[in-house]
Amino acid sequence: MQESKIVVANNPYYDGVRRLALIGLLAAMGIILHFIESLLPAIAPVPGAKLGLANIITLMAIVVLGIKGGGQVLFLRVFLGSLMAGTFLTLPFYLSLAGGILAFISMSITLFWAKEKFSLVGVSILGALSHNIGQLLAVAVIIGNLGVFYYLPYLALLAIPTGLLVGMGARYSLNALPGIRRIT
Amino acid sequence: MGISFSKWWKGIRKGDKIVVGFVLIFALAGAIYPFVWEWLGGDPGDLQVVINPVGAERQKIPLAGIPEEGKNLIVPGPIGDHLVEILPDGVRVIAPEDDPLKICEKTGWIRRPGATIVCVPNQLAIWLEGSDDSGLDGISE
Repeated sequence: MQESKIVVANNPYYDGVRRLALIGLLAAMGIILHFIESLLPAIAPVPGAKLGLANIITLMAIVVLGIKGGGQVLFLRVFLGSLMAGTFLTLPFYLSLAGGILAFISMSITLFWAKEKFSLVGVSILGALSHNIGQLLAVAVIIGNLGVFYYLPYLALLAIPTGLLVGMGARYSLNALPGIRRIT
Repeated sequence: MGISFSKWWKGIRKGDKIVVGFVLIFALAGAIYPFVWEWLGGDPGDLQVVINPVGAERQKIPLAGIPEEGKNLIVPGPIGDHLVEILPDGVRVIAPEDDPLKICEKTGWIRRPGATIVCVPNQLAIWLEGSDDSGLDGISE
């Protein structure tokens, strides 16, 4: 994949500030994408199915900032996003958190330990799938009933096109940003 | 700099294809399994609807006993009352006003054993199961 590599400076202060700015920017964009997605009507016939736009940001964050920075972006996004939406420590918050964490773990593992086998598309399909599983697990725990897993095959089927779109979104965004260094 | 959206598949790697393949196989198998099971002669028995508010007692209603014009039930929960509409061949719910996403209502009619309606904010699960418990509905126990 072609990238413009601009090695800026070895100044540790510069790197720290740059990193901080990136974390803040990515978290803010994640919150906005999540909000935009909540405005879209649900078109899929499966209950709870959605596009997962915010996953573009989680994926980019892991690629650009690594596992630690990606985790920081994820937690900032979920915590700040739910505080702003007024859902902090309520059910949508726990669902976001459960799905987000599982997607984050699976995407980190594939990006860092199997990166030559997968492109961002495969990684994001796995992320979408684990996001579904995390949310269904959270619902199952809250409701005390595994019945919601009835919908997993349909959600998994939808994870292919949505994961593909998200992976493409992350790839084109990363390619369009000059001077961004990938660590994976 | 320009971005070309053509030939987007150029970056696809082997692992991607394997993931898509596995997910497709799993998803299609899971989606058609109940139909194949029935086609092979599996019989879930008479359907019954199970209404299970979290922390309260389960209510089981056989669909066979439901009159043609249906039967409505009010199920109270933390954020309001759910209206459960039961017909001889399916069940759906109408969510209370305060339900933010109304995912349970958008689920629509459920008609097959194992199909589930869940309302997370109102802590309510409703599903269909056969009277013969050996079948598909092991998942909901």
